[in-house]
Amino acid sequence: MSRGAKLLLAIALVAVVAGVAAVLASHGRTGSEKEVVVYTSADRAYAQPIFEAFEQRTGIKVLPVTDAEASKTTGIYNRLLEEKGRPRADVFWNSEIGRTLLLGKKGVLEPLDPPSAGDLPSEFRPRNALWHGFACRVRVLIYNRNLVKVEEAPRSVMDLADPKWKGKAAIALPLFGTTATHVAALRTTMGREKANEFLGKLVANGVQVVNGNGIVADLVGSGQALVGLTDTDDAWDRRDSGKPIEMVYPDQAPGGTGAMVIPNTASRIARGPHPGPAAAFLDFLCSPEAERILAAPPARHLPASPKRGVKTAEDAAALWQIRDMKLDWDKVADELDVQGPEIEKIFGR
Amino acid sequence: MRTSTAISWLVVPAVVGLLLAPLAAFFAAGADLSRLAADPYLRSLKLGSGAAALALILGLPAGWALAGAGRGSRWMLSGALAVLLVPPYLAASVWLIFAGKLGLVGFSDRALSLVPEAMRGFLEGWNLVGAAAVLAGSLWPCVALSAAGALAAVGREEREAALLARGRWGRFVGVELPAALPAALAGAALVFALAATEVGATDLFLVNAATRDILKGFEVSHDYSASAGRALPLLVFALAGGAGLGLLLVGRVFPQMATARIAPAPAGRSPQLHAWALLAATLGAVLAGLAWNAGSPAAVARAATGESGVVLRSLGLAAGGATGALVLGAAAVWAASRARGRSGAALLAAALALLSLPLILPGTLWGIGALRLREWTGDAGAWLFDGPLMLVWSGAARGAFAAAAIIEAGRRSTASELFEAARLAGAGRVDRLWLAIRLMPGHVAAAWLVAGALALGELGAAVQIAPPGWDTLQVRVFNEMHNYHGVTTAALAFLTTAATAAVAALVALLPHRSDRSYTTHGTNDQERSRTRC
Repeated sequence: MSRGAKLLLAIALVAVVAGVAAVLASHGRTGSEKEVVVYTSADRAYAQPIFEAFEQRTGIKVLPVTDAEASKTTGIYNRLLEEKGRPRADVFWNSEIGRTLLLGKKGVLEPLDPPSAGDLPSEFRPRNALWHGFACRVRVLIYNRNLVKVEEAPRSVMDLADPKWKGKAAIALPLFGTTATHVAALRTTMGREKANEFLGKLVANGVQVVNGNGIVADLVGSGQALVGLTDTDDAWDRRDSGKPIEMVYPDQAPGGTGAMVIPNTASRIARGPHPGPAAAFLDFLCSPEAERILAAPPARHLPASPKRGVKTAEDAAALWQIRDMKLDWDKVADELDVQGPEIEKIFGR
Repeated sequence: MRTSTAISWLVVPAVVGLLLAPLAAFFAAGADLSRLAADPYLRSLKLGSGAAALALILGLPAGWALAGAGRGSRWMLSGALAVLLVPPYLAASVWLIFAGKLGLVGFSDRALSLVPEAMRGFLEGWNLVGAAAVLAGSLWPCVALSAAGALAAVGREEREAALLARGRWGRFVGVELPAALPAALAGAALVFALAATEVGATDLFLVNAATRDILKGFEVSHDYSASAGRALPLLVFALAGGAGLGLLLVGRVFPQMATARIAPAPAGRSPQLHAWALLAATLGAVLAGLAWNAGSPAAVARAATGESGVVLRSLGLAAGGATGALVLGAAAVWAASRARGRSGAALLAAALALLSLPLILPGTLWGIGALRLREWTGDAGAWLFDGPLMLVWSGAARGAFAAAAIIEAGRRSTASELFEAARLAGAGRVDRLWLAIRLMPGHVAAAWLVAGALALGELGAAVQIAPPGWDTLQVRVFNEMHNYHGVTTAALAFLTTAATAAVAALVALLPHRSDRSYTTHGTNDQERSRTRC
């Protein structure tokens, strides 16, 4: 046999083995009680330790599906909606709350009350048990401490429309992620017209609209933008890597609307392929142990309740020390469902 | 109708239909043209034009270096192939490292305030200019390789005669440039098409070109008809581009290029220096940038072992995709070549044109179409749509055109009389197929390797269709790159780039091994068949 023929034979052999292995692996998975499919918008860096701890404890393999930073939550939300008739996912671990509520309303989720969620605060445990909230982040204003004096830093989200930040403020595109939920929250608290007016002022003020909250923190850290609106975990991450970023919890003055607190939410997908492992994973995800992992640096998520014995990171404020926005989450979810076209119009996307 | 022609008209549509079914499903859902906007297409036009112009400037001189016959040219060829096969979004990420907030410029700026305020937008790469520059840096080999092929086709005697009669400048102006320029322009047209339809790099640079508009629009709404409406002009554009490619490949020029004996005259020093500098900037810098961000060889090794699952999985899926591309691409070429006369040429051109669609159109469309098929087929299609075969399928679709074109080049460079002689000697179809494989093992291996590299780099479709637990290297790197360019992400990206460069090196070395002569027994004619890529 010639050298070429041998080469071809080797190639064919490799390909056949790879193909067969792939198909076998695929078929072996269907309905297995030793794996759980988790759709998550949490950053892989934060989610991976949770997956590993769960796998170590239970021997159940986690098959995660993540999404790009730019479209996170929204992309997975639409995927779950589309798969409603024939779900692939067992668990939806949302790094925020808005889209979880919408999925609940659209019949994608089913109730589950994991034992570990018993000591979560009542606002994070709805009666319908479609979701459970834990490990919170906060929407914060950030500024570059080398370029902005502390007394000049913005104190309210509304300050971003101030002409003194013209072209110097950054936000993530509010069609996706926590920024979309934040805008929905503003529309429920201020009213649609006023909220749209504020967003219009932001655009007129030359706000830099970027692909994700992490990039907002990058821009502020590098001085391309002086101030921005982002999530605490992104701000902490950049601070830890040496960027000159300071955080301000917005609207904390007496009578102020407060900062928006965003819990992670965990839900079981209705008719998911692995119900048993899904229940086990949800129980673990809502446990103090998981919250402890998320509360540690670099993520520094804020524990949902002081009763759980999970320490807040030393350099972060505890959740109960922050004045939070009082929100009707149902209304926020409804707003989130319909605001897209208006936001697209305002931001020209 | 002859049996062979009938088979051709069955096999070619079957192959094309199989590979293009998701694209057909994407557009079959109906197109809502109300969501079609002009601005994204204007940006795509600017992006494609800018990248094509820059690639022409960069790639044309490099064509002379690549047309040389020495060992250096062979390594250059390997480097140019590697540049072409590395997904452009990886190069884009390196631009962001070197010229952006995460790397040297950002560091220098913070430390020394080196970057003027007015230049920040450009240096940070958050704009169309940066994206066009990166895409030109990734796609210049289209121009250089076309020009090199045309130069090689000129022939040694003609070049020597021109040199004797008119001197070096006269040869350049009178013979080489007229030969190289049309091919280089054709290469630039391909650059335009690939740049205008690129999705990964444009997304990283936040250039809301047509491809990104479609991707974001779908992510926000999962509205199939709106996505099809947004993508309709792209389809028209890709069909035109594919038709051009198909006609080019079955016309006179390509066979001459494919069978050309590379002129032994070495290129001048300037083109060689230019080509090496270009390779250093567009391949060396990508590897160096990713290695820089990964931190150390130990970090790369840790990523390779810690993430061995995704690495092996991606390689296995790429191998499966490459095999599918090779088998289907070769089947299409083989079947079309059996149809006689003009209809055979037309069938081959049409097959190549259609097979080029998954390469020219953004993978996003193929992926969205596959989701549509999944929805339509319901539980009956679960065995296919819920498993990794989808990724093999998308890899095959992406690599089929390259595989078919390379096999076609091999087929044309092989003396047809050999097959006729084998047939007359009583060899059956299988024997003749084996003969064909033996006559062009270099082409077959090159087709498999190039298709494999393309399948490994497939991103747009994989992002949409990767089943749980089956995310590929590209999906992993691309998704996490938006977040931050962490050590593991950079190491995985480095591994992808290095693997692609290794594949390209193999491809460039293969033809050298397979140069051989065959003598037909029973005749006095010596048929020499030189097989080259």
